[in-house]
Amino acid sequence: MFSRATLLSAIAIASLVAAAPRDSAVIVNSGSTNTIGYSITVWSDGAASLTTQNRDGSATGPAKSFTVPAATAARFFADLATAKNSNAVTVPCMKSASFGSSMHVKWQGWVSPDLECPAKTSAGDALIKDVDEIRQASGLAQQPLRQHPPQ
Amino acid sequence: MRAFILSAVVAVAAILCAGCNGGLQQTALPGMGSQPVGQAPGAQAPESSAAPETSDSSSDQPDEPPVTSARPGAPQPAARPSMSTPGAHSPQRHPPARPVFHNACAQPASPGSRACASLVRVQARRACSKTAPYCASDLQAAYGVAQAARARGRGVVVAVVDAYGYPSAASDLAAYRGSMGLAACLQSSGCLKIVNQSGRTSPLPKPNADPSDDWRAEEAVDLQMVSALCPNCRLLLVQANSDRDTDLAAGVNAAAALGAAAISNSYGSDESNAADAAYAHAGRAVTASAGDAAAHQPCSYAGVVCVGGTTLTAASGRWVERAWRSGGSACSEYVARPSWQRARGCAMRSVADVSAVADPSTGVAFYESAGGGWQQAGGTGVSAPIVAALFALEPSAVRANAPAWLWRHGRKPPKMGGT
Repeated sequence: MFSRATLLSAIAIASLVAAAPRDSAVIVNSGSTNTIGYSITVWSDGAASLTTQNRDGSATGPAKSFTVPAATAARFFADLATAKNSNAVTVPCMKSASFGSSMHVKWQGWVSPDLECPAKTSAGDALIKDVDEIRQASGLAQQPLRQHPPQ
Repeated sequence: MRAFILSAVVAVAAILCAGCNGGLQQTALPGMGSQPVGQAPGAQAPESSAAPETSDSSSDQPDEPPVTSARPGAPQPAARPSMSTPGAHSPQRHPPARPVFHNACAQPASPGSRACASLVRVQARRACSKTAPYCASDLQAAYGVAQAARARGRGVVVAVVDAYGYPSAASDLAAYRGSMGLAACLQSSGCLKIVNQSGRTSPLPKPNADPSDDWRAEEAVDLQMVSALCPNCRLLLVQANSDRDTDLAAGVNAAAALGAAAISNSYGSDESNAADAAYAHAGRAVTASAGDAAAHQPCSYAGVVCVGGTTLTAASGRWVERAWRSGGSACSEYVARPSWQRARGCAMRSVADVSAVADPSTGVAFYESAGGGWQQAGGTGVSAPIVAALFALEPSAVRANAPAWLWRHGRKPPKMGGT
């Protein structure tokens, strides 16, 4: 039997956990003239949702829920904190005029540099890898999301 | 002889940047609403007339008159007088799709030898239709170069510079050219050469692993658009190690060192400086995409032919070209206005110099196996190689300062009001 004190402690801890705000971040790929963009919202508990969208930001369909492995989610948010502190995590790069997109993570008011460009720091490299893992977990095809699919 | 390239000098009005007051900004779109895209209030309708050639009969057609275009917000030029060759056929619509047949044998028979007479039906119509996506013959007709494309360009090297590898470049190009009825352009014959940013054939870079930053489609479009407009040209694909500006600049230098007469660059980034020597090669036409949303460099560099975008349609038997609203158009923040540039809308260099088809809704057909095969594409990544190919058809333009030549031989832009 649990003592009354133990039971109350357990309830208090559970309440605190339940009350803790879930952290979230949004990965936004701009798409391009010929490729569809997308937005992935990731919560710190691993819940996530994917929305593909046109270049004007309008969704191309309903959001799809999926789960990111807990370890990946934890690492992602830790790497976000590191990257936010060092800001310049990638170098500027050229974009294919018609197929190139940009990708940024929005987190706690901070917007990452373009993660489609080469990493400048280890923090940038880590964040790019995290985003790639999340993207794979979302089920986004490895084949580019073309606006005009093969006929 | 300049008629065909003048036809591609789609409106020097393209350079005009209405609404730009010296700062880098997107061009405003006055007169939108019921007005056609890019048509300013009271402006004369932008029309050029060219009778569309039938999709697969360009060999019998005279060169067609030019098309016109203008940047969003720029007053549209007056209708151009027809430059049709006497006896040109009457305007007509595209015929229904027909199957295309090609010889099954790669080499034509020489006199006295036996020849394979088999014909292979190819599914060219899967990639093309009466309208977009446009085939090679459509583009030749629209820009009035069908005859020049047959007769010119032999031995002229056109380079396209891109980032990362594209292992199926040769086979995809073969698929495109085969379906479009263009002669094969093989590495074995020296027609196609693929090099790294140092100008060497090996090692070639690998494709970018990031599917959101895949350059293979751009490389496919670049090679295939040059093929479409200049089928006799030799193709040089330069693959930079990455999309860093220094790697791509090295690729441009390699292209020049390997003798390219025209060098197409379908990429860009936000402006950050006034010049890069890699993009200034006297006697070569260096083209670059104006960008699909904002002004880019290298497009804004003074020695570069900056290529914007248009919407190209074949309506009522004529090719009509209008400004594409998403094409980059602006005044440079860093590059002084070149002496040869007559645009009055910008205190600095005006972007762009010329435009060609780029609206994805009136896009071009291209073949890229990694992306699934036949696709339709638009963007100024399409128009930059088109203009590079047109320069390759006109050597005198290449020998001169290419953008200056364009302005000298283009039409005088209309006066701008209030900018």
